Amino acid sequence: MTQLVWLIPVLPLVGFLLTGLFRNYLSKTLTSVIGCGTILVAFVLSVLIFGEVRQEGAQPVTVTLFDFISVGKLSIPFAFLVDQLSVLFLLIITGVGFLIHLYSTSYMHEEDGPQFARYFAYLNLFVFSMLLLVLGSNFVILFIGWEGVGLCSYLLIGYWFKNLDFGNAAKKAFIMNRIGDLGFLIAIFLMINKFGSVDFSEVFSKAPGTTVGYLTAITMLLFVGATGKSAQIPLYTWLPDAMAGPTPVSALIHAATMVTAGIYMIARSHVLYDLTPATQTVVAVIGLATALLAASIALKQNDIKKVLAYSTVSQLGYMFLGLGVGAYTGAVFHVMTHAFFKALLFLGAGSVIHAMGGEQDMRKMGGLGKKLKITNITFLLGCIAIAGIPPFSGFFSKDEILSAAYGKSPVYYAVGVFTALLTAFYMFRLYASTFLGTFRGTHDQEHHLHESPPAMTIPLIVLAILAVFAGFLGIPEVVAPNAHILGHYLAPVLGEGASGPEVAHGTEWGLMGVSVVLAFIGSIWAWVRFSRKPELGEPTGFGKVLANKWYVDEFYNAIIVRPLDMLAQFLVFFDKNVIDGIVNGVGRLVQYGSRQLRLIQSGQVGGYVLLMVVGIIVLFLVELFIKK
Amino acid sequence: MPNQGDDAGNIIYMNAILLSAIWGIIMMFSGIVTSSKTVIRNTAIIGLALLLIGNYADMMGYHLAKIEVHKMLYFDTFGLLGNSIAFASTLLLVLLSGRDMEKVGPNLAEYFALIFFVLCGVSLVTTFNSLLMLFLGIEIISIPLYILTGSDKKNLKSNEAALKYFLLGSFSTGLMLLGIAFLYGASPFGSFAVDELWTPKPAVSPLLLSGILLLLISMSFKVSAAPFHFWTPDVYDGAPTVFTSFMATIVKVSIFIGFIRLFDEGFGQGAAQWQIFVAIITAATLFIGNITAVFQQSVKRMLAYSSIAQAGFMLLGLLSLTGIAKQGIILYAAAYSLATIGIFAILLRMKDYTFEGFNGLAKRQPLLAATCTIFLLSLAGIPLTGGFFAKYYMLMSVVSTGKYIWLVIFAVLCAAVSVYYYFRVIQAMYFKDGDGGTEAEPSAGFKGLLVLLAVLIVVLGVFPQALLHQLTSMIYTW
Amino acid sequence: MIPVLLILIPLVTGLAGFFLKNAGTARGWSLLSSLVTLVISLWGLTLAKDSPLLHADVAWLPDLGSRFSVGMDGLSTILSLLTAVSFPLIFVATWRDSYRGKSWNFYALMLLSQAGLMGVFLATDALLFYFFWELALIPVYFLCSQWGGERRIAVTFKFFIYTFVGSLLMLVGLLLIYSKTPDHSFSMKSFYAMRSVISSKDQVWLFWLLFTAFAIKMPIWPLHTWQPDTYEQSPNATTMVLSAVMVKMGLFGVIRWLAPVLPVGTWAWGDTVSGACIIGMIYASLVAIKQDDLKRLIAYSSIAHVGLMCLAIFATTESGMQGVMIQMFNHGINILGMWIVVDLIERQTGTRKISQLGGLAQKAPVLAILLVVVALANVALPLTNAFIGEFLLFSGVFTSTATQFSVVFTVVAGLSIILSAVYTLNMIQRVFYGNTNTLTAQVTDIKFNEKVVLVAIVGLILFVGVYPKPMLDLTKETAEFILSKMNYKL
Repeated sequence: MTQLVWLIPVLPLVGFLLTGLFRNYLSKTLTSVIGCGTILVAFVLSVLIFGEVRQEGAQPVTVTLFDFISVGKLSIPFAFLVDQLSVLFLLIITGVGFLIHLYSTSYMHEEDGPQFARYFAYLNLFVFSMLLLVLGSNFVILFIGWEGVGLCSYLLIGYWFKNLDFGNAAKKAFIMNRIGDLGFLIAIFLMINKFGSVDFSEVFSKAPGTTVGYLTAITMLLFVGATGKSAQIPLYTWLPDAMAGPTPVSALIHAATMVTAGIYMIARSHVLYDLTPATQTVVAVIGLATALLAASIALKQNDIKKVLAYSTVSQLGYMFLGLGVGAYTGAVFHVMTHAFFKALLFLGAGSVIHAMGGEQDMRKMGGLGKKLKITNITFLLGCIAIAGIPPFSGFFSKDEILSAAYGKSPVYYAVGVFTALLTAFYMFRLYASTFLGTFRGTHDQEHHLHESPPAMTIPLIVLAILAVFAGFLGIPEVVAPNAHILGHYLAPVLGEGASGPEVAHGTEWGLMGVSVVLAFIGSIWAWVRFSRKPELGEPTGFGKVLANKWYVDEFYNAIIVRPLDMLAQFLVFFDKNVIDGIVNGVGRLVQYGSRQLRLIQSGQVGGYVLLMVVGIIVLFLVELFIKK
Repeated sequence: MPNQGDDAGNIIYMNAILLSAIWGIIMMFSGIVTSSKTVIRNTAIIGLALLLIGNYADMMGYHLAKIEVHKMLYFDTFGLLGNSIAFASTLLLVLLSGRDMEKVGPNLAEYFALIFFVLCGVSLVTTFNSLLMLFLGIEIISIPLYILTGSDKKNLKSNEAALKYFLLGSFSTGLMLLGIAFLYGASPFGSFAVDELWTPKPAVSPLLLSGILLLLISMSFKVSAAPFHFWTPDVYDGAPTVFTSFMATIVKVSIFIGFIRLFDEGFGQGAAQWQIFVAIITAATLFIGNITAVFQQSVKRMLAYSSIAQAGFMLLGLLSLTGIAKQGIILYAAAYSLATIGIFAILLRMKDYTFEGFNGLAKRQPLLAATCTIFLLSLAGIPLTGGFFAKYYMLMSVVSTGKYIWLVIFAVLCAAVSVYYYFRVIQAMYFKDGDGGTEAEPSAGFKGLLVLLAVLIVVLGVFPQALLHQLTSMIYTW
Repeated sequence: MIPVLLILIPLVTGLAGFFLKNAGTARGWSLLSSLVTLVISLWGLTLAKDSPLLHADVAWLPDLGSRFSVGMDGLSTILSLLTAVSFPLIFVATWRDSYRGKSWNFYALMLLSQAGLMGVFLATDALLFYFFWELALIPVYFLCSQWGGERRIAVTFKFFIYTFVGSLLMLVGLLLIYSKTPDHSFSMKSFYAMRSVISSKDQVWLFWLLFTAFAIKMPIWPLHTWQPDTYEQSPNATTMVLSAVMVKMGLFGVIRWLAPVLPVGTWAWGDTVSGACIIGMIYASLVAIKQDDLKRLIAYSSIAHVGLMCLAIFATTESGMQGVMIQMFNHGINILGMWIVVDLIERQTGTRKISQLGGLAQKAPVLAILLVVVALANVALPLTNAFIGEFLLFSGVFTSTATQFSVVFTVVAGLSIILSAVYTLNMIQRVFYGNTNTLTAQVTDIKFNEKVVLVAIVGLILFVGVYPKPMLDLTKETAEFILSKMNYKL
């Protein structure tokens, strides 16, 4: 069965080709069937393979397709690696992916045929690249998927290409990812240089024999790549802009799957990170800082999707914190739970926007709970999950990370748990100002308010269920010994003790208590406050700074974009006038010399004779000179 | 020593000299006998054909007469081939532009006579073995040229040019005589024979060196090398175009052959002593010739400067004096003469001699434009034309000596400059629109000859062996 | 046999083309000729490496030690293949372009330049190489000056003289090396033996005589300024020849006639040249961002790409060398695709100014998709051919032992990856996205012939990008051979 793993990425590829090439001929229904069908089959296959790898002592299998690049001693096969980690991601990608495809069939229904097909083509292509990313058995294949998902994200963000702002958002996403990718690429070269291979197993086996400095360079550069793809400081600013894309895309790419690629990559190469504590610290600090920063910005956003976007960045920060403190299982766990509840939230938001006729500003919503029942309930469940209220999934994963963080340093925990408070607050601010209170939109908007069709609500329900119960896959040691199914499952890849530093049980109960209490406080506070009088006015003072995202974009513009632009402008001038000027100058010099030399051709015999005599004298002088 | 056997010094191969002299006289009288220009021209053509045959006969070893010359003349393939090229070029010139001579003035017969006398001088200069013969040859060449230059009597420019030429020419004659005298004085045997001039003493006497220098200068004057080139633009510009063509090609290259001969036979062993002067003159010639040509507005005057520039390239041969250099000179003589004669032939038919005059010629006269392009490419030294190999041999000859690499590089940079003014004509013909054209529709024969020239040049450019192979063997066996 | 045909067919058909006196016939004639050439070069691919058909050696100039000898090793094969593939594509793609005046001359000259290019890539004799080097240039001079834009004459003239200066210096260099050969021969074999004969001191200065010519041709910063102007002013078909194939002459020259012949010189100047390449890459990428004319933009992007290839040659590593050989092909194919799109846009809208375009994706979706693929290859996205190339190039530079700056070189050069994304995406967005304007409103999607060409190009891009093995196998031996000559130190 595992040998057929190549089918899993190939199916979406086929879907992409069919929907892409025949988009003018396919009916929307057919497109939907192909688009969703391929993913569904892929999901089924993944489940079957999962059935194999979850057995005790299942060994990782490498499936080599063909010889990709082989130069000199370096040989890079096009091969897939099937082990617990990759299969887990297979399930998430194909599973959540399928739900979102299904959702899209109805969400994108206003699009006309070809555009509709284009959308699904892109979506399938994305799933293909994402699967390539998680299945690759070496860093190069991983990198191929890595850039592939970047491309799809670019295409989907700019899906409505008539709108140039969307185009700019797409461009920004692609370029910022490129910056990260460069780091990744150089890391690969470092590996080639040192290990003569980019194969996971080979690199990891040779790593211990290498100097820490060299490994630190590699891990740091890999992390640079991760900051790009997973929207961490300093390269996170593209993600909120990426909300320009259709909402399902935000759910799939910018919440559930692509943005977690960085976590996957680091978890995958945890061997290297375990050897480089310096990098781990950096990862943890960056993650934490991002979590806090993004959460603070989310407090003051009024665009429903923007809030979710920053919340995503913040949650990703958590995951990196987990990686940084060595809680790889926790990080992956959070990837999974986050995939469920964040996808749920985005789709819910999509359903809201759908009902509001494209309106995304929360200030114009309110009281939608009465009209959009299912959306309302599922969305609420999602909020509870992300807020970290037990026994919902978010609580378990987040708590695992936090306790590990505490094990590393109480400061990590303090900041982390404070961020958790903010999370609960802004999520319920979002919920309250959207679903509670009274409707603030226009009259005919209110008139058109309606619950979304089943194709949209079913995924919501499924995801809601997952968001609620997925947590039980990772019940902490303290609650029930050996109940951490996920940790047990991933142990072969991430190794035992991948749950990070141990914490005394007593303290751990305490920590849980604190975070739960804060979660409740945040949630209820926001609920009470915003269900009565939501923020409608323009924020002032510090709120303004938050609303303007700490002016980071402006800052980047000032220190990078504009100087670069000016430099380019200068170089254009330089090229035209200096370099080309010199070239043309030589030509002009010749012409000038010609004009001057012409003058000695005076036409006066006397003058000629004189010049000739001068010439003769010179020659004779030279003769004398030679003689001496 | 000579490849035709030891008697080559004594039994002499005078066909060319005799024929040219005799035919010169015949031409003079033909003017009295008949007034038909056609007859006269045909007589000349026959004469030139005979010359060519006679010279070839010499090379094959058939001689009209056996005369003892006491080593005053010395015959080798190098010289004889030089003759052939000179005669052949003249023949082509007359065939192409014979009619244009008629336009110069009434005395067609005399013009031809003078041309034959010049050729007589040429065949002396290419085969001299004594400084006296060299002097004689040079004078026999120069004096008729003074007259030809001024032959357009009603044209002031023409007369002025003739006078200038005469004055400056006599100046250089003086230098030459002085040089010869010095050398005679320096020679231990008191001889004028070139192969007895150089005396490997421990130290070269200043007298000898001064003599060499003076000869170098006077010869440089004749081949219009800087800074003794000043007469060239004025004379070439002033003289009737058809004679300019004659001077710029046949005369120049054959004097070059004498030049090489003199410095190879005469002072070859002491090359190190005087080559620095040649290097200086070469550099100056290349520079002035090419740079000044850039700004010219008249194609005729441009060609005058281009002839100076080309002379600069030929001078490179003096820096190596190897077999390659001799081959090169021969090849250069052929390629340069063919191309230049062709261009002048076309120029003669043009309404207007300025660059603008060539505007849009390709539309009206595609064949003329095409052939003219090939001639220009050849002068610029673009591969697939004879001009390339001509330059190639010159560069090669110097490079092979391993000295004066700086001069080689300087030379190629100048060659790049030359592209500028040669291609201006091509641009005018092909890419510019204008009413540039010929006065009358050229005859089919004329076009045919142009094509022949072009083909010859391309053949030289692809298989230079065709001309050179026979030489190489004998020249290397020197 | 085969190399001779590859040169003769375009040469003869080209010369014949001058007498066709009819645009339509000439067009068909040239397409037919180029297709025959393509078939033959493909036939060459099928033969074994040691097949006698792949070599020819005839006496030419015995006294000059030069023979008409041509042969096909990996390098020659891949580049002659590029030439053979490009020309039919160009002829088909520009099928609808019309040329004023005697347009049959246009096609004839195109074929002549193809003959010249073939000769350059196939010659195994230095003098012959120089011959074809010039022969390839002359037709282009006439093509551009005759059928180019309004500034064509001056621009082309500058281009011609610029490159001619280089060529002449190269000639002197070749002469100097030849004059040192013991057996007085221009043959590649004798030249490759010279690396031990010529002293390090001489190699160090001889290097520049040859490299100047190649650097101008590539072009390497700061000798590049002829290129944007020439590309801008040339007729599109000629621009395609120039950028897709002719640019490779410079790189080819270094690999074939410089690095193995003067390894010490090459090694001694490696860092200097690499520096120039890197400056050029960043410089050109930045300037490209600011270009409004599509042709100029692509010209500068090409300068950046070529800079990387040159950089990799001097890195003297296997992956670098093979990367260059493959990337030369890829770059040719990709930039061809770019030009074809530009040609289309210009023919339909009458402008190349990015600022005047927009919204084409609505009008010409197929074109948009195909362009996006080509553009992605231009930014070396994985699974496109250029990714294979650049991956090898960069890893080659990074693992280089020929310089101690390999890391710096890689990192700085790597910035061009980001910048290339910037200008390429800018271009796509401003030309294809957004709303249509008066100029772009009437644009129709691509016609059959253009579709064929672009699909073929996209096919090549993806095939090489996914399965580069054949290319790698083709170039492996030659790369190792060249390196074995380069790694020689006095």
